[in-house]
Amino acid sequence: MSSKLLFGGLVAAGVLSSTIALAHVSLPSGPVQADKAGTKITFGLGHGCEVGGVHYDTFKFRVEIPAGMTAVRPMFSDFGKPAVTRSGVDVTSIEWTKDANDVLGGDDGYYEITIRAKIPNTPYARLPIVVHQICLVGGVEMTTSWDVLPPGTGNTAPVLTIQPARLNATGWNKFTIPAGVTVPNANLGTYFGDALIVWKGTEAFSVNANTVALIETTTGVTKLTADLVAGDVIWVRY
Amino acid sequence: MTRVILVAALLFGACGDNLPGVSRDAGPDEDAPADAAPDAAPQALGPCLDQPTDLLRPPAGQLPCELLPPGFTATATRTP
Repeated sequence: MSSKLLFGGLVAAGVLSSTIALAHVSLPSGPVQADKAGTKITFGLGHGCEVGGVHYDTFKFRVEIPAGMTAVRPMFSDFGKPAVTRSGVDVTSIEWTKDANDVLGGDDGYYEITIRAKIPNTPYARLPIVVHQICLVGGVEMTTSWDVLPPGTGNTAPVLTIQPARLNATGWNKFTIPAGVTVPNANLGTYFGDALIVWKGTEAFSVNANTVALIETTTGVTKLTADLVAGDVIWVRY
Repeated sequence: MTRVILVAALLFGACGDNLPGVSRDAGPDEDAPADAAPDAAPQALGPCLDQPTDLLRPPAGQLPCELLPPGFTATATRTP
């Protein structure tokens, strides 16, 4: 069997089984604040694609802009200039394509691609952003879509955590849980992971184990164990 | 000549600021009690704004005042 035939077979197998991307697309920029314009969101591509046991560099990257995210502006990246698709005035997707001459011979690169946008006013929400990673396999584009929405598993879309907008970046903020929102106690760390402490009355929460120990030993103070529900007023120290 | 300059520079650099009578550890007396209060009387736990004379210090079993929210009140016994 010629090497050409063997390669063609591998490509065909890849088409049938789709590619395997080696790692999920991450959001190294971290959580964002609700309703905040000019927020930068960075996608981290830790790996390229795997087809038939061979690893490939990423050639293209496409982001589908979720509903409610507005004023979207892409940045130039290692992949060069972005191509924007619109529906009316709204940006619906952005694609970055690397010069074919810049594609690495193997899966050796880590890439960060950034957009700037106004975040939807939906605090205490987790917003999936569907993205597509495309590799060149023998000149053929092979696409891996990260489009499985929570709570699904597999090729899950990167999920943007939306925190409440803070007025005081390094001090006390008073928040009221909005109507229709419940924040499960188990998710407090998701939305207040960078807070020093969260208070509801005399109940307190912190992701810091040392602070938790102090909460437990301070007279008149107890750990916050209940969910936060609409109308709850909390004080958060950042 | 270069060696002379090098030796002179090393000697100069080796001279510290060990002035007589000045201690590098001239800080607060470590044997002094951690709290200004003479006894461990029950004391209202409140945010820093309500305790303007308290000094920041490592927490000793109680949440420090800077982690207590505005308007917070609870009665606690402070560890001496």
